[in-house]
Amino acid sequence: MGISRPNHFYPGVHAYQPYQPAQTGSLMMASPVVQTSPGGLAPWQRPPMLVTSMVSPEGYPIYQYTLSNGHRLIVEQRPTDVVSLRTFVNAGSIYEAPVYKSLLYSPRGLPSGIAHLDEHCHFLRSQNFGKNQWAETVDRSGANFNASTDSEMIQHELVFNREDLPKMLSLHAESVLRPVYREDELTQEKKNVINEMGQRMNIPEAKVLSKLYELMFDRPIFQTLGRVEDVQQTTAAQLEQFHQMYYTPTNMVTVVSGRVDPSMVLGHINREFGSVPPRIQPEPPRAMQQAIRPGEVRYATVHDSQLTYSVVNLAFPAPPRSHLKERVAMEMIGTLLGNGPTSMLETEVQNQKRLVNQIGVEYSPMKAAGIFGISLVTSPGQEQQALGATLGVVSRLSQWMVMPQKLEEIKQNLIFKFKSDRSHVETSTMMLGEETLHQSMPYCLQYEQIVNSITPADLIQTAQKYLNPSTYAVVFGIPGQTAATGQAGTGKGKAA
Amino acid sequence: MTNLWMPNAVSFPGYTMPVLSGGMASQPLMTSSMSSPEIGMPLFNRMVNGATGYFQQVSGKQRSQVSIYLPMGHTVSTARTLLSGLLLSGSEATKAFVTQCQSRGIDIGAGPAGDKFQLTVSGPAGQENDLVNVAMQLLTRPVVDPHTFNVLKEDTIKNVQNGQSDPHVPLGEAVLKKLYGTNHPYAKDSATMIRELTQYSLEAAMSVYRQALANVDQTSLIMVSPQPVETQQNALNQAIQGSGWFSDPYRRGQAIPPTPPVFPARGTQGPILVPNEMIPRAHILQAWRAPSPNDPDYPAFRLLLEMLRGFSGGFFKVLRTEKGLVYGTQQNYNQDKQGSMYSVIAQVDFDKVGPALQGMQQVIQQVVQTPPSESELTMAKKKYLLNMRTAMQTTEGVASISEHWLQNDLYPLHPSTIQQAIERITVADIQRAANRFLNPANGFQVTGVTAPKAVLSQWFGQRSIQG
Repeated sequence: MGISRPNHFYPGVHAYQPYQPAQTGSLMMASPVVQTSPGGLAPWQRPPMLVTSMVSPEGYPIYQYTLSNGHRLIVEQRPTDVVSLRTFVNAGSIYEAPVYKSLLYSPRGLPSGIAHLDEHCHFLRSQNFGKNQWAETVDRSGANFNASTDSEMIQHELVFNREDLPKMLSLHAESVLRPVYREDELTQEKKNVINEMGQRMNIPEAKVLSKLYELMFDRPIFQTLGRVEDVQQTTAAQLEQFHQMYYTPTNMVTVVSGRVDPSMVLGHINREFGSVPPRIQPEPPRAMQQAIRPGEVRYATVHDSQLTYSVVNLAFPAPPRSHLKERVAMEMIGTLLGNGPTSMLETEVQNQKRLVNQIGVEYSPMKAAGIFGISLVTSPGQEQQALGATLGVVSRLSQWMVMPQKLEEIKQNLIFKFKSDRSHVETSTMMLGEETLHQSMPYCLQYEQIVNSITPADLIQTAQKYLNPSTYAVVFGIPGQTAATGQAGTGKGKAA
Repeated sequence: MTNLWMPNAVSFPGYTMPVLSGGMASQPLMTSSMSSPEIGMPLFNRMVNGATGYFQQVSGKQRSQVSIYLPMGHTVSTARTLLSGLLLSGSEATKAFVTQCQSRGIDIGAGPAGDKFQLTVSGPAGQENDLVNVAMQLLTRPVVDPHTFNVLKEDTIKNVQNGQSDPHVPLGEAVLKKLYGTNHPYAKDSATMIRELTQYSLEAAMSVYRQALANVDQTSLIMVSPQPVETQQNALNQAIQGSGWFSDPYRRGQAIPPTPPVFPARGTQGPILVPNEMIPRAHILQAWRAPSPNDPDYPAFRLLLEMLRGFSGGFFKVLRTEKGLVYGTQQNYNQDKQGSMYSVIAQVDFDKVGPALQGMQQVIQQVVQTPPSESELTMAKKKYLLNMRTAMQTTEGVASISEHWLQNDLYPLHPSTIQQAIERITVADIQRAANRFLNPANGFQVTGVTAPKAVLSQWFGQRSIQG
């Protein structure tokens, strides 16, 4: 019931734009039920279709089906008695009205925080289970449940012993498809969400990170949690509308992995998810957009009294999910820069220049954009020097050819890490679902081939395209009285 | 009370590892009475250098792992923090070696583990000889240069200092001092660690390490691999011989001092009040002395914790579902040899401190006074099974099942044996465990609260406030 990547949220420092209620009536009308064809079965009453059978990188069979209503199902047969079952929804806080004014996003939309609040409500009450009964039933079966919401995706998950598969398939469908929203019960769940906001938004590093997203995308991470006022004012009718609009068959993918019988799983999923009439997507899909322009540097400072040290978070634009080769090249650059004791940043900025004492590098691809972030922990007063030294190292990536031996080392490192990550059933369902939803499945199935196809020239080209030391965003997290952003702005050249 | 873990196995006087005759024993000391299709019979043996070896065959897994548990004791806990860095990145040569290992799929980790210092090396199946040789090289021939030592020391000190800005750290340190006693090594605080780290020289740190390495008869090793156990044992023995890692009679004169026992105590202490003017919400920490893995009630306590966590678990149900006070609670179970601890942390608004404390008390009273239903017990057993199966997906996970035993100088158990012991637990066992450890009449509980001084005064009046 948390929010997936990134983990923390920032209340923001800009004045909020007044929330404009969405034109709910017209949106609902834009989501009609598809009509039955005359004289025959409705499309969603026809049998499901096996789209393809594949083999996972580990050699496990994978079957991909499309139900007649457009709902997709992926079943991976994996020799483990733990079963992971997830449904991914191609929706998230991106469909909400932005909490800050931005030309990149439509000012219209649902109230902020609604995608996340809706995700919580799926565990509260459903058509066949009274208040909290669904969650108690799952819990008493010894299973674990969770869900997460980010800007572009919502996912619901159950993990359980394989003997409980039929029961869990039904319970999962009940939660995903048939939530019931009641005003009197929403009050309690809103309290839970507001408690979650209090817990996540007060972490200093989270504030810095959220601010960084705000500079990079004109949309802070905290958008997903929403504004307290919006969460408090969200109604059961709005939540129902959200569910109707986005939990549509063609907008969802269900993934099951474990020691399971694919035909049995298909039968269950088809009965449950296949009976949902298809609906037309109410509006074109939205995605996070890169706000930073070439040659532009955006910067901000966050003061926080909880900090006793300084944090410097900088970020560059990065390739989206569908750019497979660039995406893998970016991962390799991340390894080269900041992964391990011989990485460039650790060697130069941490060990030689002694400007930082912790370094983190993370690349997060999205639907239409991406972010390559570098996080530095340093002493107060050394922030600018640490930033300058880091930019110096990054700029060399665009000029220097990586030695073939080093490149090979990084490739093998990434391939082994990929295999290791995929040895857990939960990681596998996450990867299969995300990549299917965002139409980038070859990333998962052909990862090793993609890695091996990367040349030193590819790394230079990717670095030249994305890691431009004159196009970045940086946020300084500094000890001090917690307050609105101190210095903030944009400009050419470096953050001064 | 019977020993629920090992009803038919050899007795465990003091639960210490056995002392075996030297050399390569051809017969295993003990095998589990259980087996499963995926996880074979474990093999115990004394290694060629006198250390105790434990081997487990896992079929169908892609990786192998070896872990070494050196006796180091809590009296040198500060050195252990430093040594993990020294072993894996003590010089440019070591860093290059570790990076090169990573490109062969070999993952290396080191650090404190209970009263031990643990080195773990895992890698692709089929490369076991490479794996054990990497482990022996890192273990027996650490290369550390003074410059890198100083860099590591400085960064370690900074990280300990920075950690104090997390409100849980000063709160936890205050609670641990009450739970274990101010001078007990388990209650060592950041200030002491920083002082000790500052004083450590390279020579002193390596001297501690060499002393631990020389006490091979107090060392245990575990290897988990798709290879047959005999093959694993041979590979490890050869690597030990090749590395020259044997007991050092000149150094081992100083035995590793055991961690002192904690003072006997019962009742409740606190709340310990830790003022923190910077935090926007209050944090409450409740901690209890809990059973160590050699306690007969350990399995029942593990199931009891399964009942306290999750959606229908006591803390979530009362504090979130019923009262709406928290987003969630964080529960931990540290299984240390001389004094395990179970703890719960809740983060609440300043005006909810009192109701939250009452709610936490209500949860504990409930489990102490009311036996669980059979359906609750079944749920807990199914959750435990799910946890075991989740771990058993990987070689590393299978090895982790044995960690708590090895850290405590106990025999690791076959997963089937553990599962059978769990299945035997009854409602009465659960209630006995709850009564022994969570009832203040028998157990020992400490509560701590951190918030700004004004908030603490508002809730607790003019009690003594630390800081």
